[in-house]
Amino acid sequence: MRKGLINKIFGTLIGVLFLSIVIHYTRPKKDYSKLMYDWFWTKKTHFSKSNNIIFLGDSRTYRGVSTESVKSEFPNQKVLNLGYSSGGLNKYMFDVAYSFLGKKEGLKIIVLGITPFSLTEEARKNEHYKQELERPLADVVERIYVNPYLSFFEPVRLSDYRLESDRTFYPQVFHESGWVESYKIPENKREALSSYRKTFSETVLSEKSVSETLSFVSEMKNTGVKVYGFRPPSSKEMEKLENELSGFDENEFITIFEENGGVWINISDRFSFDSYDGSHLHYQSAKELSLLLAQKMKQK
Amino acid sequence: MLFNSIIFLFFLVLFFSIWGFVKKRDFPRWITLCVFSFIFYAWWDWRFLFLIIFSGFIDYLAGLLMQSVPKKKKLWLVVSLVMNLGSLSIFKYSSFIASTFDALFSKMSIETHLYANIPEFALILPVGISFYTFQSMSYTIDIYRGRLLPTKNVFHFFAYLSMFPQLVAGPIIRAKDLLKQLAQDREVSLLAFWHGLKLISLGFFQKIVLADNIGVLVNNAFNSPESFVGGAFWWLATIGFALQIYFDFSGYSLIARGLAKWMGYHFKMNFNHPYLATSLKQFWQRWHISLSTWFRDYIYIPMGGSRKNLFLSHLFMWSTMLISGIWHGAAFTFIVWGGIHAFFLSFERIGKKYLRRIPSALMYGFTMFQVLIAWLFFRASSLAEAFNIIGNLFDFSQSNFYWMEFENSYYFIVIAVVFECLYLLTLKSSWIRRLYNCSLVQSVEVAMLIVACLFYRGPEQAFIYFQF
Repeated sequence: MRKGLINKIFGTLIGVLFLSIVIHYTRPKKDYSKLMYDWFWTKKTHFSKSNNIIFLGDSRTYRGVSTESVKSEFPNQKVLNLGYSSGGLNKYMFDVAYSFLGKKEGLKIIVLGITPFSLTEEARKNEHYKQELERPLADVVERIYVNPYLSFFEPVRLSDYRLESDRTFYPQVFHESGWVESYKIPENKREALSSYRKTFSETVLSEKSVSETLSFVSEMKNTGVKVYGFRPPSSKEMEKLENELSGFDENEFITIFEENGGVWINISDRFSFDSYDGSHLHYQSAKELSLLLAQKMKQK
Repeated sequence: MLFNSIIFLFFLVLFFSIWGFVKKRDFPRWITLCVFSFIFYAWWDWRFLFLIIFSGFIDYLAGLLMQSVPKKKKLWLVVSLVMNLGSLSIFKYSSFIASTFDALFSKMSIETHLYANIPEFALILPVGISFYTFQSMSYTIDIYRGRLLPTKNVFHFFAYLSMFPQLVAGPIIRAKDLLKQLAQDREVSLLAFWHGLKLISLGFFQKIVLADNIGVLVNNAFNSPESFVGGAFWWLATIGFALQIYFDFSGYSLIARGLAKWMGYHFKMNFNHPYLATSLKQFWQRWHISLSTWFRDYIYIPMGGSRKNLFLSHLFMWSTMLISGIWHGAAFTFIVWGGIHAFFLSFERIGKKYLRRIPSALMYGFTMFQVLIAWLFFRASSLAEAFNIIGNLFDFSQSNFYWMEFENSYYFIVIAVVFECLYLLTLKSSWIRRLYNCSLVQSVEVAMLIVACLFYRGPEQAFIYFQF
């Protein structure tokens, strides 16, 4: 009886080991790791303090600015991409960004990725950031210290086993310094247009966000923090749609931004960058853009 | 603390590494159980730990006083019941009662603002309050009835009341079953360990693989019902919910029973394949057994049960079912859920003679239809929403399955149905039973369950019954 039970228990252990190995090595390739996704956002929100250069903005910033490329121009500086989905540019996030800068002497730069959406009423909610910030401590500990060791057991969806020739692939790599390297197959440069059309029918440009941005720029000038601004490239159609529906006047904004002490980085050939969905940059373009931004930051 | 969280795994490792040393002697055993159970509960919200301790302490004292001052037995029972039902009323029902009165008076153009005046703390529902108050009440009621002797040791009592595997979502264990077990050091044999492992792996499989994967479809559908149309889709979503709530809750109960086995204790079965029932009566003999028997023993039978005339027995059954509804949640939807079950149970009782002649496959279909319609009220956020969804169930003008969004959940619905059918097969076929008794098959089964939990787990979700 006892021997039989011991055999059963050992048999189970061997079975678990064998089946785990089989499933792990035959699993369908995933677009991205959910465990790393969780780790990435928790790390960005809770464990990314004391930086020299911070990029702030929405998903166009966190997908479009490669911190590694920026670092190649600023080798000894700590660079963080603090972009969030639907991230707003408003006092709340400016305070967050400022608190993420290093306290010691040294280079201090905040770069704002200015999209019309980031200046809307909707973006003022900063829902993504707050959701990450308010995560219970136990979850934070689990995501940072436990989950990365469980990647062998990354969950598999049964539907992923079904081979689909027409499936959209959306691979994403999460970098510790806040950049999400991404691309899509097949690309559809008009994909994001409808959702932006819907978004701008429901929200408007916030005057409060614009004035808070300008106040922040002039305030930072007095504290020795250099503030840069740029408009993350998307696609020609998207920019046209955003400008028309939001009423965002880029030239007027640049003028007052500079009047308040900000440095505007003009990307002359913005539509030469490749966007996979009409809104976010292909990772190769993100690298090129980031290098260009860093070079221009060095010059100005 | 959720069973399906990593932190619980650490908690368990710590508990069982201490348990082996302390379980031999009464006092360290009870203290350890109390301390770990309190930590387990406080992990959710430490403030409400005082509520369990306070209400539990009153019941502990009431039990002792009933024994030492038997003349005032009734008074101490009333104190215990008022305490338990009072805390339930404050924390679970105050907002429902207040908003109902507000709505009622506003129809008469009287502004009462009762809801707005409820203190903030009373708006939070302490996890598991319905479970531990019922468990605590059974202790004092059994002492009052002379079926149980009170324990003199307060830690012995709290080890029973707050025992972590079943603290927040049952099964509701009777004091007469568990206090006796807790009074001894109980050997955990290798066989008990193996049974515990089977129960735990099956429980986790039911919860994190079946319920959580099906939950993606159910939660999306019921959280924004206006976004989905088509009878076929809504039937699948409703069946999905029936499976989700069953596997979620049954999974919890199995894990609780398995952990208890590892500690040396035995909890009775809480679910016995309710969706294989061919009548509602059978369904209630198989669903949440610890609660159904609690209602039977402490409400239905004391009222008179079926000992009085036919009309009264129906009335008592209706009352019990409506109380069961409101026990589940403070909303009219739960009362209607209880009412639907009562209605069909009455129907079954009255038409018993005729229903016997109906083929069992038809009776099965009829029973499941009743259960599914009732679940809609249980899950919907309002009566109007439930009726809208019922309307959708019979709208076959569109056949949209939202395949892209819920493909994965559909696979797990199929697996869940096959899973239950396999059990049915073991009942019907002696060949399969013999095969199942083979050691190798059992090892492979448990290994498959564990590996499924590791790789095919759904997005982490809290247990549904935590909200009750």
